Amino acid sequence: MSAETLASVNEALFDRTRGLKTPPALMALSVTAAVLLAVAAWMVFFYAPLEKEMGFVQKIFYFHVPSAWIMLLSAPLMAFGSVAYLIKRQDKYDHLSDAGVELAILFGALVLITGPLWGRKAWGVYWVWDVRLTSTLVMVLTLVACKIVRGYAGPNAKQIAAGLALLAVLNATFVYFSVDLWKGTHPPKLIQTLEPQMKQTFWLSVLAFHLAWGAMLWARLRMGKLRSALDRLHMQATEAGLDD
Amino acid sequence: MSAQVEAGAAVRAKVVARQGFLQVLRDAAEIAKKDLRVELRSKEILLTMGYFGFLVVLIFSFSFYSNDAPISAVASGILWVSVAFSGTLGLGRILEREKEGDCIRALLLSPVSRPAIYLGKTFGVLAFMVVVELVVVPAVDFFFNLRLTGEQAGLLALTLALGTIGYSVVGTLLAAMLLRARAKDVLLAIVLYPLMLPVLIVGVKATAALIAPDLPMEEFVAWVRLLAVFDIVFLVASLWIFEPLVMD
Repeated sequence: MSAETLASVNEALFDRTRGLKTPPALMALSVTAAVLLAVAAWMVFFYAPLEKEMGFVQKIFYFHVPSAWIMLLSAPLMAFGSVAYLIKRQDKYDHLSDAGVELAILFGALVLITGPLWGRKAWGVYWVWDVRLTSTLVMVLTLVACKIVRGYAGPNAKQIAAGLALLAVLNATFVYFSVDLWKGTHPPKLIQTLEPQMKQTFWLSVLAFHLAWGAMLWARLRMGKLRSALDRLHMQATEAGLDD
Repeated sequence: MSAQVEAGAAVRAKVVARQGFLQVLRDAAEIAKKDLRVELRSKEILLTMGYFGFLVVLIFSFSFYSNDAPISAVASGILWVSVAFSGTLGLGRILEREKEGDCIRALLLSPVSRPAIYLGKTFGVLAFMVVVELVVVPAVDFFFNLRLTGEQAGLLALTLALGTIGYSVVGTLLAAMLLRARAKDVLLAIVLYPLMLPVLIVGVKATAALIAPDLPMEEFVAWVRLLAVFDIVFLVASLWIFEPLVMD
């Protein structure tokens, strides 16, 4: 191999590594989110009063509802990423779709863990086939399948994952909106009925969760971008004969 | 050279002429007819699917019993699960066939639109599913002692038809999506069942309402309407998603 190609690959490598430092804004966002999450957790246990019917179990609500909101926030994100990827075939949309899928799985899992703990106390059983429970479960299950496919399907896994993410969102929406007949046992929106101290705790928790979500999304998108850059670099290096 | 260009233009014009709605349906029917003809010569898929469906019902019938008689309360669930399980068998095979000898490439190169290919395959899957249901429903009726009346049988046929359309619409799309994937048989089951959950739940509820002693008609109609909405929503979505997914 000529010294010239080696030099050009070297230069490309140097160019890429300059982008590796964590952006200060991402750092700041992550730290703020972490601090607020800690404060929110403290407020949940020591500041917000005990609810008179449900008692201590009601405190799950401060984590359950923000998680559910964020899961719903991730859905349009991955739907957009998937549609854009299927049309334009650019990796950045695939990263967006993948990040959305992972965040929806993470927060969906939180919803599905905290929900039954609350349900055991309120309904006497962990699980009922209620509309919201079903639509959440359907979405999380499909998205997990989507991640599995992405990992094992081979060459056109990205397309398949995008299609599946889209179907998952569509399916959850279908279940959620069309089933007015389905007898819902899930509690209705009760934020208006909260005590002031409960409200403060709740909204701080919502804020903290959203910031954490933003930081994770950012970090995940950055990771995708860096990974693509690394793949390209690897290809360049192989082409230049640097495969050892 | 110019002759080639002209020939190319003629083919393109033909393809454009084949975009009309009725033409898409005609092409789809042609593809489905081809699949059925191939199947009628070997009967491989139908026999395996039908027999498998029967076996699933049989296994369930000795899994749920009290006093040595199967419990008829669980019959609606077993009916749908048996149909769903045997359906997966056929879905994998009917698209796998196109891969043998790279027929899928010929199909994609032929002057029919992508929606026509998708619909044709869906019709084929639908036809296979109907045959399986002709085995599974009598088997469930026999083992679980349902004694369906004529009215109940008619309503059950309607429910099953709507559920099966939803199943075939989504199933065909997924099977086509995974055609070139590795480990596709396992992956098909993994992606199909979560997406089918709403159809299965609603189908089971409608069937349970149907075989209930005093047939709550209002409830039944509401469930069936949901199945119809699911079919329409997913048919439209699948027609759109199919093209970008099997393009290359």
